[in-house]
Amino acid sequence: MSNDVIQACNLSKVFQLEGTDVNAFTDISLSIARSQMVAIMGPSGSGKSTLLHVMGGIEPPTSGEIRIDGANVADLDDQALTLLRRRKIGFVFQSFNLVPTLSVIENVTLPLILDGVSARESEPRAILQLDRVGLSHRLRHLPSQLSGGEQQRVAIARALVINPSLILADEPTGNLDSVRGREITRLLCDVAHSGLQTVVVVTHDIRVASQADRLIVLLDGRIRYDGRPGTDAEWMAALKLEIDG
Amino acid sequence: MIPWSFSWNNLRLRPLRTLLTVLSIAGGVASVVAVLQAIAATRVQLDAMQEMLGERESLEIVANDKSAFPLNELPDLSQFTGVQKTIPIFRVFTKILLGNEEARGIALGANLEEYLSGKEFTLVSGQVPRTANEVCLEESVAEHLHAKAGDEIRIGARGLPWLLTKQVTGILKFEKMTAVEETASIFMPMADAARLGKAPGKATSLQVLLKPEADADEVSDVIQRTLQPPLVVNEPASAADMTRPTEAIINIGLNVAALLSVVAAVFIVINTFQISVTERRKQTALIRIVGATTDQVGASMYREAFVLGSIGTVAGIIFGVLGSAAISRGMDGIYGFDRPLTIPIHPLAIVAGLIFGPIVTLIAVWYPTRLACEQRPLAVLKSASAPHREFPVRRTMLWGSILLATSLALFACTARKIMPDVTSILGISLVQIAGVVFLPGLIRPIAAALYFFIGRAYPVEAQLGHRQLLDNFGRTSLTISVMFIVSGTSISVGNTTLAITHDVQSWLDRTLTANYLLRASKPRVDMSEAEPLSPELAAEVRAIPGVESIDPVAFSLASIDGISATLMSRDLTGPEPLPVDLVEGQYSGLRAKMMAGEAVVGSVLAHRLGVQSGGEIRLEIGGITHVLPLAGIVREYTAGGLMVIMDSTAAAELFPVQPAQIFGIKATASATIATGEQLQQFSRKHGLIYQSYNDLKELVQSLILGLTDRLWMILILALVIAGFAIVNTLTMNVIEQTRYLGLLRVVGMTRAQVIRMFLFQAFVLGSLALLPGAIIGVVMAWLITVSYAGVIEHGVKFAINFPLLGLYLAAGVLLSVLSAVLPAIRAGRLKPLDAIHQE
Repeated sequence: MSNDVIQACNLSKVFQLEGTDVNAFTDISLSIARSQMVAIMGPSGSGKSTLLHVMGGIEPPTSGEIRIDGANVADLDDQALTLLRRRKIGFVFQSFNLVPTLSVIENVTLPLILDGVSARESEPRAILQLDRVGLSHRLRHLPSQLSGGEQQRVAIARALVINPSLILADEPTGNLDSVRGREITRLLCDVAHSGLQTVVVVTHDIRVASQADRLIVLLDGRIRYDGRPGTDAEWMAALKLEIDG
Repeated sequence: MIPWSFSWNNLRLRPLRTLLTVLSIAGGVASVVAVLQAIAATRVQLDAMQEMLGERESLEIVANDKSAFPLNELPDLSQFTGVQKTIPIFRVFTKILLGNEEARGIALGANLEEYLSGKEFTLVSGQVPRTANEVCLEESVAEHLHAKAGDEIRIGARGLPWLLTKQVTGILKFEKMTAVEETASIFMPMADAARLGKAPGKATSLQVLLKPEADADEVSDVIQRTLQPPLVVNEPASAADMTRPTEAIINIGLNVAALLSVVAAVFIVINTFQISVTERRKQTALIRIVGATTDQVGASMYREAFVLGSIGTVAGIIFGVLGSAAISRGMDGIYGFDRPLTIPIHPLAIVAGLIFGPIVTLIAVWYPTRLACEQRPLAVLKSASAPHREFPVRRTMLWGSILLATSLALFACTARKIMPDVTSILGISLVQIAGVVFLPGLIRPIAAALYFFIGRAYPVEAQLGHRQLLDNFGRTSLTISVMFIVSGTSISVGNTTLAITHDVQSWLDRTLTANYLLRASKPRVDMSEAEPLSPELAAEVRAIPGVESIDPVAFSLASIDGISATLMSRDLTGPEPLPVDLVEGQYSGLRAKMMAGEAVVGSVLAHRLGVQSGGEIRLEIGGITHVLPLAGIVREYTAGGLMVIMDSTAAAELFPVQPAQIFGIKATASATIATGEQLQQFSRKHGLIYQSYNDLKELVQSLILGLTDRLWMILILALVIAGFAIVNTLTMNVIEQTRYLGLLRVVGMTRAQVIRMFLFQAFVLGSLALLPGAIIGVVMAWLITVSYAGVIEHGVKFAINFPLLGLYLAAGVLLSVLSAVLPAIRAGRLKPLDAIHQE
């Protein structure tokens, strides 16, 4: 098994917007190793979310090649891609995207149920993950009865329950206050450092990025920085200046 | 005021939602317009059929003793209100000869131009006789004689010592019901027929055509008072009598369908707006946050609804008119009208559509708008889902009970004659509406049962689909209500109509035991004017190989308490089961009673006389009256059910009955086609009419059973409305649940699983509606049978038609699932990323 969970080569993505080609990102090549937390930063429209979606197999690249956990996305049909997502990738969204009519435990078991795992097996697995995110006492609550931070923790538990190779988080702290945001960031770091799971986080928040093992900065659809994030205030200020232009 | 551009963008940027909303309104309006148009069209056609069947000749004056009477002794009938015109007619039995061929039949004399103007016929060749000594022949008689226009034939009549020579000027072919009812074989001017019957200046009957608005009973009473015995006024029996029960039930069905189409349409439109407004709750909250008042939001919603309602109404009227035209064409096909009936656009239907569309749209948008405005905007924006409202099951149960009690009160009032029969229609509709109100209480148990079974095969799809249906309880209730209404109505009308046709079939099987029929002439529908068969012929028939027995049947005109009837006398001594279909009384001991002189009467006659089995009737034939005990009431469709049946020996001892006019011939088990062919040859040789059992069965079925085709049309129309409701609801489900579906796809639900989930939902929706719909349909069918026992005088028994139920349930569930295919595929094709980014 390759040590890289993502291998991208010359990836480009072009959108058609009212007849005009809009480049989301161009000619990106990168590899992401297992058990890392990688942050992707960049200004709005830099292509970071699109890159995340391409890594997750929910958006095909226009050109180039991407392998997710060894599988070439171009070789997979919709069914195979769906199964790849179901078994290898966990998603965490800015707006949580929990099913409002399902309880906490039902939301977390959903990917397992979809995979045909029995309730007898899926519920303990879900409880384990909910315990990990500190919500095992809210199993029967509906999402509307939880705070934003709690909802995001449920979303992380849902992503974790399938024991994925890759967790993709799109602005996971964007809808949270700083305290809750820090909790979520810490949780994602723990996930990345406690097993074989890789966490890729798209964020605007330098404090989140600074917790990552690796930082990729996108500007105008191209990688401007790829390395370890600095931790001192001067470094962060320079990065912010670079990103804000 | 919220600018128009806001509303316009709402409609423009969500084209599918806009289209579905318009289509829902159009569908609702179209169903109302189509049903009203179809009712108007059906009534026009029923009237046309009645006319075709003989209702036009509303009355006839005849002599009680069947003798010819002088026309100049009659009063001037044109002076009576309601009389349109009169046509004197002379009928006489005749023998027709051409070369070596001979035929027997009735010669009819009249002003042929007037007489034939009301008949469905084709002039196969030549022309209608205009002068003396000219005749035209009925096609089958001409074929039998090998006669053609221009030939000279000879005709004779009983008591006339010589034959008269006439020239054939034309050959007539009667069509449709006229072919059944027209009994004459040869047509000639009035004076010629009267001379043939040795009664110049006289007539055997006077047809009295009534004006459309005339009351036949009133005119009959007035004319009867001016007549001297033996002249009487009769309402001639016609084939219409045979179709009347089915027409009655069709009318009931149409009335119920009209009322329920409105209810179904209201449900469809309300359902659509409920979904549409709920889907936009965040947008509504947002514009309220930026400063719109609830009045402004409401006004904007009403404005959009009005625009959509107007477009939907216009489209619906067009669809409705086109749909009803298609139905009318279908019915033309069924009845085989030669001149296609042009059904004009019915103004009432259009006006109903114009009023219905906008009003129902505004009512439909009112409640969800009120709810949307009541919610706190910030809470809506923060919440991911629509607020969960507990469905008021207990309150709906209370309303259902009130409705049920009201409908029972209406039935009680109708039964006690406090209210007219038509009130029952309202009662029947209320029973179904009560069923609709009770329906939500059944959703959870039935859905759970279905989930239990299907969940074994597809646990994921079943679990999620089941969950969605219950989470959207209100919408599920509305959707199944539409299907419940149409399925209940269809099954009730279908079950009742099939009960009637089954009744006819049972009567045919029980009473028509002969394999072949031989008769000397075509009888009238009331079986009068049938020429007797010579007893010597019976011996010859018996000699034909394969003939087992002969049942000589005689018909005599009779009267009971002033009601004209026909006595059918048959030889009941044989070992075969009695050829009567009892609806009251016992078969045990019946033969002995009838051979001892007791009679049985048709249920229609019993109903009109108000007699029951075990009672008595005062039967008068040829001036002789006897009081006879009634051994039973029988199902009888011959002569419109106005029939008395007696054993021929017993009848001959009491009354001057006619000799046998029909030989019912039973063949041995070993009889072959050759027996039928020999009987045909025999009938040709003696100028008799030959009919096989199948011929007669087809004849009756063409009259009554053919009407069931109309039933299938109503059922198909109902299923289409139900299918539309499912397509509409599930497509709206896809739109509303786009984000949820996107999420499911992101976390690993395959397209096939999404599609199966929707198909499961459709299956459950169909079953939730159709199973209770079938039960309420059967209850309604029973109520129709009980409530209209007075209208459907044949006393049709209620019976559940299980094949109909099974077929309808299977077709309904299949249609439900098929209706879901497109929405399901659309859901499966959603791009996960686009979907989760949608509000």
